[in-house]
Amino acid sequence: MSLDVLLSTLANDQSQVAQKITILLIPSYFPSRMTIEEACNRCATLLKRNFVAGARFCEFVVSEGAPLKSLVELIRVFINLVLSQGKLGADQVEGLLVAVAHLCNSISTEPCYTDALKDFITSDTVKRLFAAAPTRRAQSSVFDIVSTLRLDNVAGLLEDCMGLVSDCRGLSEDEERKAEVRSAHKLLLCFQAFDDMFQALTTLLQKVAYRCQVKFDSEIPKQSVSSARRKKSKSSVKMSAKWKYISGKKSSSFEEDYLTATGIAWQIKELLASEDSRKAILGSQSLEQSFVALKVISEVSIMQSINCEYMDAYPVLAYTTIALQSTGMNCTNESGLKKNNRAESSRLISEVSGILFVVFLLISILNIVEAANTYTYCI
Amino acid sequence: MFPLEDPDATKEVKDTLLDKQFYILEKLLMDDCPDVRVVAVEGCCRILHLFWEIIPSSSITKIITKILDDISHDICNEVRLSTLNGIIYLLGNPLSHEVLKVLLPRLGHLMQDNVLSVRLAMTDLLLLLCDIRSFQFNKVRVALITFCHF
Repeated sequence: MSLDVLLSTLANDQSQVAQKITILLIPSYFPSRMTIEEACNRCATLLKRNFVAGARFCEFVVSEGAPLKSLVELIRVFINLVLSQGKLGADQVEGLLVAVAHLCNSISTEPCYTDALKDFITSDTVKRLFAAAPTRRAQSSVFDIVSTLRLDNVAGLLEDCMGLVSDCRGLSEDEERKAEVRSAHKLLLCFQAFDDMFQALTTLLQKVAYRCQVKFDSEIPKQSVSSARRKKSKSSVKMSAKWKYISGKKSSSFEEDYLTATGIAWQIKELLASEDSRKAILGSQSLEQSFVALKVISEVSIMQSINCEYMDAYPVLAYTTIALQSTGMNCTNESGLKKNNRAESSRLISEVSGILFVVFLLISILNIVEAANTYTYCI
Repeated sequence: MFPLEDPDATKEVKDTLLDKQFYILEKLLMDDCPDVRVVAVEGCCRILHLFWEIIPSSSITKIITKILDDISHDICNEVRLSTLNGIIYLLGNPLSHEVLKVLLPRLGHLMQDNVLSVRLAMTDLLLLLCDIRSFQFNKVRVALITFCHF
């Protein structure tokens, strides 16, 4: 069995196998008996030979007993390699950044080591790392590093994240972009810029809902929350250009805008699946506006699904998920639930029921049409 | 029940009976029923582990070669897994190391087996080999030999 077979297995196999191969390779590629410098060089050699296996090795090396102090030094070596502008391929740079993200995640439980890393990984270093990241996975690794270590002065990076989450056309079908957007969400949540992000996404949804109204004569329901109750979103990080992704865009077709709305709907559904981001969404001042916009878009998605190929189910899924989560949240409130909350829950449930009834009706119609076509073909 | 022998018989009769038992073991290794093959592999490795010194070397080589060349390519997952478990058990007897270090590379294909439990067992075997200090990796075609210290 050659080393390449072993590394290929480490790169591609399940975690249980990869962990055991990591144990096997530690004496060779991160030996504790040698100097830290030599150990780091050997690990870098592994990464250069097979970047995926090297990143995987770094994912498990801590759990298999490698000393954290040595790993801090390993992170320094890898970052220097990325920034050295040496002749590294895109794959190798990606592997190095993914490895650093894994190592930072492992070290994050020890404040003394994370503080040492924060001294080394400055905001300038982060900018240079992001600029050097050649692929989406590499960029999302940089996001992960920043959010894991909670670095300061990352406003520029947050703006890049905002751009990423706003420019989400075709997102629901691109797994690599999905991973990148997840990392961006994590970073924005970590730096309390989530409200700004959700507000921006809501504005985009409202734009699409308006276009639905114009194109298909849909009705936009009135919102129940009065403007007096709306507060300014509190963001600890000022983003000077947070609206640049909303206004000032070139004119786009309805289909392009609709696909953006689908990408946003995927993001909302994804955010509602995680506890922290779910709380952030359900506590956001933009919740009802986004809910109303999704309702309009969902209705159009259902009614026009036969006529337009690009109609998608994600707006409906996001809409129903918000409704169910909001209802669940109201039901678990403390005793003394106010009447208007109960009324709100009932309204949400009846709206969701209405949407689901229309979906059921449409599916029934489609089944009848398909059966009729099959019968005609047989004849 | 191994070895089955008549204590009152002559040496020639005992040897003939022993040869017959090894013949049956080999037949069992190729049985149509996979459950029988599983038990046969594990039984053979247990016999070799316990009675290595009294088994003729030609018989040892024949059985181990059959296990590593044929049984390790068996179509049944459990049989391939039992091959690895049997070899891991056999390595507990240091007398087996000289023979196994020559023949073990024939199991290399199991690292890419399509069954997870087989791949896990293969990694367990590799980890065990790293721990066995007397095992001379230079004679085994595993590239990581240069970094393992014995």
